[in-house]
Formats: sequence, structure tokens, C-alpha cells
Amino acid sequence: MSARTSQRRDYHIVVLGAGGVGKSCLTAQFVQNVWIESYDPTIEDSYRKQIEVDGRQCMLEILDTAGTEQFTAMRELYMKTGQGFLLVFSITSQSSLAELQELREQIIRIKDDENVPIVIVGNKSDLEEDRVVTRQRAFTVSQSWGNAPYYETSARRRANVDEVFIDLCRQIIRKDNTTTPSLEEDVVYHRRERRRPHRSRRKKKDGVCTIL
Amino acid sequence: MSYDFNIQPPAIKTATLVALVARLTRHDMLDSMFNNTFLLTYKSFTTARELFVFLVRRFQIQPPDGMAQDEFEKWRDRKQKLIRFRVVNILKSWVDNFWMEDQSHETMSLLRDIYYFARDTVKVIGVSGANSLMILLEQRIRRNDETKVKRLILNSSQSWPAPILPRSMKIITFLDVNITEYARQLTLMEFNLLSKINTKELLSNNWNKAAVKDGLEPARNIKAFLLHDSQLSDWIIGLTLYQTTAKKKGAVIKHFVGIANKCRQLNNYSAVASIVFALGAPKIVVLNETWKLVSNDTIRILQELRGLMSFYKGYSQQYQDALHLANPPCIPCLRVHLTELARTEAAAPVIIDKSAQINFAQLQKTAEIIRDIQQYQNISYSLQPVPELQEYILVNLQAASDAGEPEPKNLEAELLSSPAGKSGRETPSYFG
Repeated sequence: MSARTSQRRDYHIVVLGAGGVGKSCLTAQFVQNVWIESYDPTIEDSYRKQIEVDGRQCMLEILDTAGTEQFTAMRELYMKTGQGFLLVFSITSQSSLAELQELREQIIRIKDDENVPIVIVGNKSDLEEDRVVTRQRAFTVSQSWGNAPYYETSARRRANVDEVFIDLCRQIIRKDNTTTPSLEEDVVYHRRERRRPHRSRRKKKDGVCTIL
Repeated sequence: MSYDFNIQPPAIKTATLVALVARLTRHDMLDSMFNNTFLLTYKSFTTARELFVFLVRRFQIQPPDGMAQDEFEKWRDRKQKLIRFRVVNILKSWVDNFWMEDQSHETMSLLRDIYYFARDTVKVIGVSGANSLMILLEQRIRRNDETKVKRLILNSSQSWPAPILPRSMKIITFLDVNITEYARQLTLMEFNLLSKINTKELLSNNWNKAAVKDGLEPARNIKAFLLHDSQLSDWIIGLTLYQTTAKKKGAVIKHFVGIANKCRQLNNYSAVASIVFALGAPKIVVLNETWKLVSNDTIRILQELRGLMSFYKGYSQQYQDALHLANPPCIPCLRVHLTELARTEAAAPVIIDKSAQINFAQLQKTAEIIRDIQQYQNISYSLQPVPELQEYILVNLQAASDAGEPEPKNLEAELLSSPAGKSGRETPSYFG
């Protein structure tokens, strides 16, 4: 089977955020094109999906995690293995946005890298009448996080769902290219050892703030 | 546990059940491919009851003797808690997504025991997930069937392309149906058949087994898929031969090649294979007068599709590459994958004699083929069904199979799955 997988890269994505913001719904919409109507708190689920990003075949391994009840040791493990993170909150809950702050700080601490691929996701954009987090507020957060892209999504209506995963995937690919010059198959192993002397060389992303 | 270091990262070759369960629930890593392989194939090396006992034992893990208090706390927070969390999640995932037990008393009593474990141990200790595990088990115990607990709703039809309808929907004739639309409706019908196949059917060569006493087919959805596949070929042959002149026969062939080409664009390799094989059947190949009238363009497309769908001892490289590059939705050529599965399972025993070591490398190959099929089952086509056209296709397919013996096709899978097929005359077993 190695011939089949050699042209395809595997990327590890972790979906984090408070309980009930729609992490599993977002993931299910992306992976399976379905909306999960019932609510069943996730413990830890992993999905795979093959997509094409800029002409390159990528196998995404997506880890859907538990919300609030998850404990620190487990979260650290996710952050170590993940290459990119979707930080999800609900536009109908201020506290769910506030919880992302701590998550982001923890990711940066564990990765020892300010430029970890991250996408901020304001989910439930179909519930506009219940909105309590303004776009402005979310943009401010995005700016304070080095212009991490911000998207508003609706897992219910499948709005912007592919976009958040593809954006994250692009960021990971870009990082892959800048930190591992011309190494083909041993990317994972080398990445671990490599300290990042050229961190500042990486170009600041343009202000990618996307709303619907 | 032994490893194969030729693969990066090293893959497990053989292991005991204890070692596999430990790996399934490690505190320091999550290997979701391994977990998936294990849960897909556990029935070939253990029983549900035994697996449950091993998981409970893992949950009860105790600290090494003589651990100091501060060390113990660290061990508890960084190891025991994580292992317990993973045991609960494996139980949940098993019951929710990988449950393949029959509906016997033993199964019911096992479900109850898992429930008591969740209620009296997991919940009491305060490991998260106890409640959702209990809800899941309650639903399983109450209904005890294979219905999924999650309610999934398909997306709305806004982005579907408008169907291309024939001039008359009352009397539909084959050449009147637009090739794109024909390919779409055929694909929707085949996807529907594909999505019904459950994992259990794919395991242990179930599709080659006869119905058990109570009349339940062990792999009825696979058989339904294969039956459709052979009916389609029969119909193509039948409709072509039914035409009275070479010119009319040629027009039908051209139309089918067009449909096959559209099916390829839809990643429907199953239909491409059916059409290609039907047009390669001896009765069709000998129609010299007809083939003279078929345009070079059509012949070229047919040759291309033939190259793509030529199988010799399993996957052709071209098919493999096409499949690998295809973004789902996709309908694979199921027979080929079934042949591959049968071959993998026949290659070596799962449990190595006496040593009680499980041949995990072999199971990984099996699981990989199943995962591929599942991936295709998961992603549906965004196309609008046209009931009249599907009805038209269905009626014709059934009429074709009633008309006479199915045409044996020149395909390895058939030979492998049916000893009778070797003679090239008798009906392969899955038609029954």
C-alpha cells in the first residue's frame, strides 16, 4: 500500500472549543455532508477525509475533542500531535469565545511557536437573532492573535464549513514547505528535532478575515 | 508485540490480545488507524465478551508497588486517568459504530454488563463519558438492532444541477435519455445500494456464504449490489442484441460508451466496469458489421475505459491511481475490492498457532480495504433523483435478468468468489 500513500500527505487537525459550540457538527458536515440533529457530547473521535488543496492530495486526520470537561493532560497530548487547530466558539455565547484565549496560549506554549496554524471559527451563524458576539469583537480577537483567520460558519446550513478546513490545511502546507526543505517522507520525524531558527522570516499572513 | 521496521512508522506484526488492548488505550498516544483496525476486525481473533473483560481489566490498572505519594499522584493524573478515559471511549465507539454482534441472549447479557460497568464503576469514579455510554447502551438494549444512535440529516438540495429530462416522460426510450442524466440516475441508484452495505458483510468472506436456516442472508446488501451490477451488464448485452440492424446496434453501443464516460466523470467505476465488460462480451465482440459503424471517437473512449478497468490479479495500476486521485463521492468497482479482501483473508491465519499471537499485519490489510469502501459509502452525491428515470432503469434491469441466464463476465473476482464460475457457464453463487 505504500505506493498508494506516497503521493499523499497526512495532516493532523484538532478541533477545540467549549462544550456545545458545534465542533462535532462542523466536523460531520465537513467529513460526511450530514447534519447531526441530536446532541451527544463527544469524548474523542477521529475522522479521515481526503481533499485536494491547490492541486495537492491531502489526507486530513481530524480529531474531534470533548468540550469543557476534558482534562489538562489529555489536552496537552492533542496539542502535541496536532499540526493545525480549529478553535471553535458559538456566536451565541460570550464565554465560549473567552475560553479560546486559554486554549490558544496553551497551544503556543506547548508548540513553542507563535505561528501555529490556527483558524478561529464562530459557529452557529444561522442563529443571527441569538448573536451575542459581534463580528467586531471576533475581529479584535483575530487581530490580537497575529491575524489568525476568522470565519463565521453554520454547521446547520453548511456555510463556510469547507473553507475553514481548507484554510487550515493551506496554513499547514505552507508551514510544511518553509520548515522542511525538500524532505520527502521523513517530515514527521524531522519536524520534531528541528528548532526553528528562522521563525521571524516567515511572512506575516495578510489580514484574512472572512465573514459570510 | 513484534514490529515491522520496514514501514515508517513501524507497524505491528504480531501481538497478544493483552498487548493490543493496551495499545488501544494508551495514555501517551492516540493511534486512530490502529483503533479502527482493531474494532473493525476484533471478531476474527476474540469474542465480544472476552474483549469487554480485557477492557475492564485495563480500566482497573493499578500503580506499581511502592510508589511514593507524589509519584502516585503524578501517575494517577498523567497515566491512570487517561487510560480510563480511553477505555470508556473505546467502549462507546465500539457500541456506537463497530457493534457487529448478533441478537442473542449472550449479546443482551453482555450489553447489560457493560451498562452496569458504566453505571457502577465509570460513573462512580467520575470518568467523563459514563452518561453518554449509558444512554447508548440503553438504546441498544431496548432496540437491540444495528440502528445508529446519532440522527443524521442530509443537506438540502440547493446546489444540485438541474436534471436533463427526455422529451417524453411517459414513454421513455433508451436513446432519448441524455447520457449525462442516465449516468447520474444510475450513479444515484448504485450509491444507494453501496451505502446500505454494512461492515459485517465485508468480513470473513460473508458474501460467499449461503443463507442460514432462518433465511437471513449474511451479506444481502453486497449481493444486492452485485446483482444490480450483473443485471446492468445483461441489459446492455440484451438491448444491443435486440436491435434489428447493425446501425441501430451501433447507436446503442455509442450511447452506452457515452454513459460509461459520464460515469467515469462521476467517479462511478462500478458502472464503468459493468459497461466495459458487457461491451467486451463474446456475443457483442463478434458483431463485426456493427463495430464497423461505430465511430473512431467512440472506439477510442472505449479503449481508454478498458485500460482503466482491466484487472489482472486484483487492482490494475491505472484503476488504483484513478481511485486514489478521485475525490469522493465515488463508487468503487466493488467486485475487485471483494476479491482483494478474500485474498488477504486467505493469505495467512489470523491467530498464529499455539503462541496465541494475533497476526495484526494481516488485519491491517483487511481493515484498509474496508476503510476505503467505507470512505466511499460516507459521501453521497449531490444530484437530484428523477424517479421516472430510475423506475425506467430498474424495470429494464429486472426484465433483462428475467430474460435468461446471466452472461458470465471475464472478471477475476467472479472466478475467485465462485468455483462454478471457472467453467464460465454456470451462474456464480452470488446471483442466488
